[in-house]
Amino acid sequence: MNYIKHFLLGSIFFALSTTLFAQTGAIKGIVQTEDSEKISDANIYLNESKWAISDVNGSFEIGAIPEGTYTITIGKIGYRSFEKTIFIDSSEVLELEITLFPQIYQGNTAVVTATRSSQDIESVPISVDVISEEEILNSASNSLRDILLEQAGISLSPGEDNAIQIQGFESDYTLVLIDGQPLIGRIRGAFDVSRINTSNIQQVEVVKGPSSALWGSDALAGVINIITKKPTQDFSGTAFTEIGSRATYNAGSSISFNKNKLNGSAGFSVDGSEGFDLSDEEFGNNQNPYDNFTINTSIGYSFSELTSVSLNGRYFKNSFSGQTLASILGQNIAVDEDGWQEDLSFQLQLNTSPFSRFDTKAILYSTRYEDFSETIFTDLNEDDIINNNFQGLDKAEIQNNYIWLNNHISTFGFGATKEFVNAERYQGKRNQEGSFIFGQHQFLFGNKFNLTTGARLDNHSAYNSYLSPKISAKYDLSENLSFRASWGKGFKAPDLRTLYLNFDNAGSSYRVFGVENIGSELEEFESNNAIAQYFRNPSTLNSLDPEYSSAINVGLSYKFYSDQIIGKVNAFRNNARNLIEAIEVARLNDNSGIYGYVNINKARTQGIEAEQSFLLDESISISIGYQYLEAIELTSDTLTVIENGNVVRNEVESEVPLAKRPKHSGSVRLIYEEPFFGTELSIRGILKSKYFYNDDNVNKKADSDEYANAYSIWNINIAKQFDRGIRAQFGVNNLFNHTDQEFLRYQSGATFFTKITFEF
Amino acid sequence: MRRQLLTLFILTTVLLTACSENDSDVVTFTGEFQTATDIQAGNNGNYTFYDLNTNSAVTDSTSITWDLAFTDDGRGGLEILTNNGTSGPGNGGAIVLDVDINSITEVPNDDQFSVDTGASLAITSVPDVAGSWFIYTSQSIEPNFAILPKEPHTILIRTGEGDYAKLEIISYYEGNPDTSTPEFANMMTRPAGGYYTFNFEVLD
Repeated sequence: MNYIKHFLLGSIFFALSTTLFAQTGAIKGIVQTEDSEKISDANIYLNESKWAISDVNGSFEIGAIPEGTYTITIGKIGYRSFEKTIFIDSSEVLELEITLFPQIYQGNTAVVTATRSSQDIESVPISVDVISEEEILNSASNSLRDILLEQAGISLSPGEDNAIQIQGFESDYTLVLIDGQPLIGRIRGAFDVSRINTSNIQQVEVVKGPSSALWGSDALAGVINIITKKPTQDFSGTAFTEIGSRATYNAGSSISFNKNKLNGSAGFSVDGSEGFDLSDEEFGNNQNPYDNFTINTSIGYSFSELTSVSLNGRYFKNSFSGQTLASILGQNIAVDEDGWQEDLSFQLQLNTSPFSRFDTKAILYSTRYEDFSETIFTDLNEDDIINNNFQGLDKAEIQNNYIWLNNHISTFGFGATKEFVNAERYQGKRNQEGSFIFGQHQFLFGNKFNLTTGARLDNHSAYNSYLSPKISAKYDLSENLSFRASWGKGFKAPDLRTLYLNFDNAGSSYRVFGVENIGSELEEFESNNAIAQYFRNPSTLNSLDPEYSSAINVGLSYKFYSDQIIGKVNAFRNNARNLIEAIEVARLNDNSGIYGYVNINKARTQGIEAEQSFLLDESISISIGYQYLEAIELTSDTLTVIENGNVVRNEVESEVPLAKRPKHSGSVRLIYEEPFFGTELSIRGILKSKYFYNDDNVNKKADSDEYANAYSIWNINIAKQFDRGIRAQFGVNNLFNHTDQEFLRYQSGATFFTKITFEF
Repeated sequence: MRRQLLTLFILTTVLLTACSENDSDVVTFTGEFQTATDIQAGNNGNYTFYDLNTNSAVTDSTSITWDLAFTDDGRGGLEILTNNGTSGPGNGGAIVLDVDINSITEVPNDDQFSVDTGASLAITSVPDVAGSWFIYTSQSIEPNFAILPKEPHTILIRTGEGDYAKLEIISYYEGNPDTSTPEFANMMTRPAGGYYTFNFEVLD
């Protein structure tokens, strides 16, 4: 309505100004590619005061322009911006034909994680790291784990299997999404990133820093959003197979089509290995033999240019077998332990644009996760120990985007979730419900300054509601240099353990209860007169607040010498509060402890991230990444000392370095296309400085004998592209066979592989 | 000359003041430590009684000779008694401090010492609270479920006979093992608990 009014007023004004005063000129033009394909939705600016957007035929028109010299700037995602000085004569219509060229090195990198709508990575106000399909192809990585580890700002948590750290925070605080929807099934808070096979990945977007204003819980340290491949060609397919040492295998196939308004894809992949064992002395494998199986399917239909619907499905299964030690009648006996994990998800999405400049997206998402493990006592009169955990999440959400006449973009959305978990350790089935609402507005001041503000409110049945704001800005200092800054809050909801755990093991000297259970448990001990001492007021133990953080990120990005040198630098500081920890809350008469969860800890991480890539000539490219990190936990202690002959207790806040976080991390990637045989050589290195490993003597200091050694891991491979879409790769991961049983348990030794990919 | 006289005067005053303080109960530790190694705590409700003056275990629980008594249920339930109050006939007591043992040169006022009562012990059995000498790592800190002496800590002890001692517990495990090794972290290979190794100095 408003638009029509503007349009009418504009037309009248235009008509008046041209007829009555006749002192203004106009421009008319067409924006197209070098192949004369028309480019719609390009932004046309005239001295940053007048603007237009090209229509589906690539044409645009700007009228009522006073006579004079102007700079016309034309921009569009994926294309180099066009700039030209023009003179506009009064009472004349200047006709222009403009050709936009694709951006060569950052070509077509549109990202969704920064703003929840697809935008050029260079235009969004938040720094986004993108791992492209090409990078995945070059590295021949099988799983998301391997490819994430080659990023400087992402570390494998040395003590956990396949859990990653971002900006100094554990895996618990990073949200993992697939096409914008959360993946569930965390083990002790950590998301196992090896569950994602790389074969269906278009790109991985990593946003560091709190992002709860758009994405809700868990996005306290950052978001990893896995974007799957979408069918773009009439018909295409791929098949690959890889084998390597340690009985490593990875194979799969997929086909996709996009024709006559209908598109779809189907694919599968299998991967696995016989695991590895670094030490004969220590019982058990470092990694058990495993097999993974993934299926991806999608089907979509476009009713018109403006309305489409799609359904995506994913199924994953992992199975493993190994051995563990069980203590039976005081003797340690090796027993078999087998298990599996499974996840399944569906996403139904409807996109429509009911009127101009407005689009809306409705999504139904449903996912299930189950894991199972069994300890088998053959020939022993013991019952098998079975662990089973079943979780689910159903979600409905609607998101709307409106592009204003002045190119501001408003985003508004809301949704509801239903979650459940069913596990013995959580005493059967538990249900939770939540709802959320979010809004965001992107202000554009000219074409240099972008200011984005947003907030999200989460209501939930299991914890107090939480509001997460975020504000970010980008300013182009020049064509080659952009400045970005953001401030935002992130939160993490109390997880299942902290809510429902009921660990009451008769054999051990402690019990742990989640907040939903601890009140009734303490009452029961109280009624039996079993409690010797409370260390916390029991009435404060029945609820938890979300853990939260607020962070500032400030950075510069630059590109010089026709994009041959590209880089960015970002400084961050993240203050986390209300971190949940299990502490002893009471002690029983038999001297056993009762542990409960409380919001007690604070942490602070700060550092600098830098990325730099050089294109030396057409054949050599080098990328270097670096992260400097300080991670500190703030704890409050009471120290008993003597002053003037009297005993006094002083409250002191002490800063304890967080363990397992290297201060300096680096990554190196060199790609060389040698001309003689037409092969491509890729060398990638991960470097970590020595790091505080564990506070063995619990003195809250990093003592010199508590450090793990610096290390580097190097991967190398050679690829050759043959005709007919065949690509062969041969390589070695962990070339120098660096292993460390004590400090790097989940890094295997040198692994050789060879991989053949066929695309049609 | 005048200046030297003044200095002498000040020195004398200071010395006299210091001596007058010494006249009460301020005595000075020299820093010469004795070590007790792998003192095994009693179990099943039994105690090991220890006399610091002779650096040896004693059997008579009813005398004032013993200074510390150790018991342990093998599940992290440990107790260290001092010879006083509900625990013994002696004149004992203790203060647990969060300071380095070498920084303690003087004994604080007598009324600052805690004694054992039915409700609490002078050397508390509760880990990781104000006034405890050890940390129980539980499941969140590695090595898990271990009893580790706080660094730093000092236990000031008034002995059964009323002498003063300062003491630092070095290890709770047999053989004073390195607690940073995988062998220690592994519950299957960890040495037995309830074996105290400590350094101490007694003022006679």
